Amino acid sequence: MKRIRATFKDGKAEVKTFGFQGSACLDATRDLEKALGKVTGDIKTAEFRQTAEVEADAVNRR
Amino acid sequence: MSHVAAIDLEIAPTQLDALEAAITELGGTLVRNQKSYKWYGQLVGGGSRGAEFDNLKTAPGVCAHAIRPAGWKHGDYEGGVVEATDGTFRLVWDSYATGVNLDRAFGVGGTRIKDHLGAELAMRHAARKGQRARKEILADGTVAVDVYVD
Repeated sequence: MKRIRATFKDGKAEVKTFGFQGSACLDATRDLEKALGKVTGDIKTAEFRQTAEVEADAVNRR
Repeated sequence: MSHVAAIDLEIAPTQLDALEAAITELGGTLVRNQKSYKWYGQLVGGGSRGAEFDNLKTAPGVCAHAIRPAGWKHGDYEGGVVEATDGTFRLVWDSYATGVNLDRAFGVGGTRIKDHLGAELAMRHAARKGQRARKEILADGTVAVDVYVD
């Protein structure tokens, strides 16, 4: 199951996503991040890049 | 994990219900539409008043709503929910004298209120989308919300 974990400490938030494919994680959290405040940093992890590459390959083969 | 976003929490005037829920969870009270908050009454030199006092629309002591910690008694200092020039709300109070009770209850600068507000907003956001969500307080005081997406 896909999961979003939001943590709050010292007036700052961190939003992490687990189990999403490629850019779907960005779509899933965009509204929540906007509701919480000002995004000051955004890091795409290895999982994001791997699934994004798979998506791109699939598109290129069509 | 596929991505991590870091966010500076802000309080929008439209989030007053969630703000009240966060303050209540910490044992405090939001006094809606009380337009002044009790403080020392004048600025004195030599101290640092904190960045939360910068760029406010109103003078010290003037607010949109007031905040009281648990155990507040008549005459004790109060916090103010104050509109800033960027349209967001800030949480401000005088930390001297009985103002220390506000720091203890809500964190210096209201950080604990912001943390609980963020969690409340995340829970409400999930409910609106029909998603299952779970909140927990970690040992170090971090408030965490897990949202499960089908």
